[in-house]
Amino acid sequence: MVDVFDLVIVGAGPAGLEAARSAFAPGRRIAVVDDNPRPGGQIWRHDPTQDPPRAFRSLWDHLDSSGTRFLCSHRLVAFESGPTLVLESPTGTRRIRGERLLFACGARELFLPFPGWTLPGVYGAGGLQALAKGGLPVAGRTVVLAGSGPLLLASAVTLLRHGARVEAIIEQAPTGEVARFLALLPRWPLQTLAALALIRRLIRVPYWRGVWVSGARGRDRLCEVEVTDGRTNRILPCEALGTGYGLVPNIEAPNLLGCKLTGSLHPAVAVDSQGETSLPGIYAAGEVTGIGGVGRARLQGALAGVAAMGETQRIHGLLGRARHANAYVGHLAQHFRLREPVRRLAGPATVVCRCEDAALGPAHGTSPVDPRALRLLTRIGMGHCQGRICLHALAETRPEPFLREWLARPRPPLFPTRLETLAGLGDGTNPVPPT
Amino acid sequence: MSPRSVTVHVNGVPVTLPEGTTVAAAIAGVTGHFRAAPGGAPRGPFCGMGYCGECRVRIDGVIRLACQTPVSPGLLVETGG
Amino acid sequence: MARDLIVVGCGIVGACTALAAQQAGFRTQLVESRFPGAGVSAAGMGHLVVLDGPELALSARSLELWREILERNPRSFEYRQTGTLWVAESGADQAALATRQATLAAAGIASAWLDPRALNLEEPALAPDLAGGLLLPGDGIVYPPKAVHELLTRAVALGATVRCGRRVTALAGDGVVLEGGEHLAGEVVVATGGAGSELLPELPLMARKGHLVITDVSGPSIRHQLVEAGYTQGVHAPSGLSIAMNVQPRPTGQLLIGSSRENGVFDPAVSTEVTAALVRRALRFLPGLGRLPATRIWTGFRPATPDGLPYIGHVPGRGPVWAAFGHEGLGITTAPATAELLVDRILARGSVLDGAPYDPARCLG
Repeated sequence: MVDVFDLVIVGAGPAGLEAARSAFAPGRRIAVVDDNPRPGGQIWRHDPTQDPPRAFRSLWDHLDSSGTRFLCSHRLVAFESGPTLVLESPTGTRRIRGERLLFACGARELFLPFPGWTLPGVYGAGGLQALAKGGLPVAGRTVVLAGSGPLLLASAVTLLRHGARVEAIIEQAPTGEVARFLALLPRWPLQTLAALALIRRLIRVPYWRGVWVSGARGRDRLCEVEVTDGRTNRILPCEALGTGYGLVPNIEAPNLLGCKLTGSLHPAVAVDSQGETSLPGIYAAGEVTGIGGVGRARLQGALAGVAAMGETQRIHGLLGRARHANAYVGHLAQHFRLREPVRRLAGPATVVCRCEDAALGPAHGTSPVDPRALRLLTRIGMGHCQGRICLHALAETRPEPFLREWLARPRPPLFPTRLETLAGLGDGTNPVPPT
Repeated sequence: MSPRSVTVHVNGVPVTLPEGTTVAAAIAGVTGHFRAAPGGAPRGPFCGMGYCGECRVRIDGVIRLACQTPVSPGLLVETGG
Repeated sequence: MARDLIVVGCGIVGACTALAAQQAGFRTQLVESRFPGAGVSAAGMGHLVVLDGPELALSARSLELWREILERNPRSFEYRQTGTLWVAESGADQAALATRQATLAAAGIASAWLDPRALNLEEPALAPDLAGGLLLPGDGIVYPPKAVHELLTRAVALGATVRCGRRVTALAGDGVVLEGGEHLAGEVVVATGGAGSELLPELPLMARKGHLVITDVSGPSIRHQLVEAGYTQGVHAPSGLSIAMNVQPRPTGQLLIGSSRENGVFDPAVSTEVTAALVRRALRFLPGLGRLPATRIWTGFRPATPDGLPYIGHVPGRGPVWAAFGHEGLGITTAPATAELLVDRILARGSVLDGAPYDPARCLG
């Protein structure tokens, strides 16, 4: 059975929730799908010890009483024709279809492998923030945050709030770039306010620029990290490291459906000024269209929500603001661009693919290899995360088009999927005779 | 308001924590070793957002992601697989 | 003086042929258009299996040769002697397996019949309503990409040379022409798997698409490669789609689930319908696995000849040109015996196997 809606939104973060609000009208059937247990996405992730963020609360108050259908803990795993979305939840499988479809599936962190990054105690920077919100005990623990971009600061604030001792924030971008980022930030008032709020709370936390973590050590779990500026090293004892080098869009689902992508290194979904993808009736908004933060995501969501409903008279007021917000994408990328040394932290024996425990081995540092040959021999990218981590790392660290080749021929399932769900796939358009 | 408490079992050890927290939080109170990598090394949660798979454990006998699973009374969690 | 042999195609058959040829004293050059094992070899399960039909002689001899190969460094093949457990769903299956057991026994291959109780003890994850199973303990599994790599390494250690990323565009009277016009002189073995008919269009070949699903590490451990008894009937079905349960326990504890065969489908995309059908069939035999996550699905194309037997031998009317392709889904198993038979034929010497059933001349008009 397939439940049919006027609009199906994939992702209940800022873009998806704004889209749901802007698309709402009495009698309209709207569904929002998200694989997290609660709406909010990553930035507004539920934290039982804190009051929800104001922006989320006002959106949620509106949506909660609107009749919008929220399917949380439901993960999109495959498409059937239509497209019908095949969703898996802990208790079963469900099918839904929308007259219009809107991808607001957000972004994930970019990780660059370094010796020791597989030790328990090493997390993503946003990952550690999310885990702490979910109750991972961090009170009294010594934490280091390292990598690049504003997310390090946001994560530090959450960790402080949960009682962690944040030893240092380690930013690979040099001081000059960070200063230039801040100098032009007032062009985006919302982002400026957010930055000031973070900085105010981090007054006592050392913020080192132009340095990076080159190794993590410990026996069965992390006990120290090595920090370097490329010339001198220093050891920082710590119990947890949160590391991340910015964000990359979650393009897997729209890519499987056939939406065109844009950008070369870590592609995003290509959309027109109203958020429509290359496929008619299919929209995308927020980080999946480019990394620009929560302010841009909300605007894009609001715009795509009304555009998807065909309410063109409401679009014009939003277009200019969305264009301005889009300029922030380039601002962020320019000043936190990765420096060469952080791409060369992994050695031949450093695990690149965490799922398959695979290192580059003899292929490390050699002239380009055939991506498929290396994948077959090492199983890089063949495990649980389906290359979501290592293929993006390889895009930064190797000349071969690992990621491009994989994205060029996407295949289901989008995530590991229970066999019983696979057994139920197919919509009868190409029936298989009983055996 | 203080959330209700929930008790789950991690490798046979009872763990009590507030409603709304995750199985990953429950496990972390007992062990940092969520699963074994193919080469045998211990692994713990990493991405925190449900895609890396490093926190996958058996919950009531089924492989699930600890970071995406809220605690509920009586869950039986096994790690190290 | 050593004879020059050019092996076109470096999959499992090309690598085994180069190894056998070097051992026989040839000076072997391998030419591969992409990278070793890129074609049919990469997509398969890597099941080393003795079949009782027309492939009995070839597969049985090949398993003897595999055992010799695997005496050294079996880990580099990711080899495991899982055996094959042929599972009977019905009384008719049971009768067919009894015949198979007798045929194999006559060929000197031991197998054991398991009644439903013994089957349940051997593989508790199997459904309780099955009629029994036939266990062939000598079968096993390898990881094909690594197997190709290791065999190639051995051939190179004996003096074979390999050129990757070079396409052979034509056969010349006394060798081959490479893309760009370079000419290599020598006797030629065409071992290009599914691309065999590009160089030898007179030998009919069709592609049979297959789907495979790999799971996360499974809870209930499965010890043997499990194949339903009816598998061999589906294998040579002339048209349409056939599905049969074929489940392999990988050394990691993951399960590799097959299998499907489709004729006349050339799109490599994963079909949700075919995937669903093959998973349903697997769950009929392994009903407790429904909640096990599947990690990945892929497809491949088996190169099939009209009678289901590979082309191994001289290609009439072509000068010193030899064929070694068309192994359908059995190439990993039969590559070593293919190589042995082919080298014996090139040297015009006696061989363990009768080569007549595989002679390419049988399929020329």
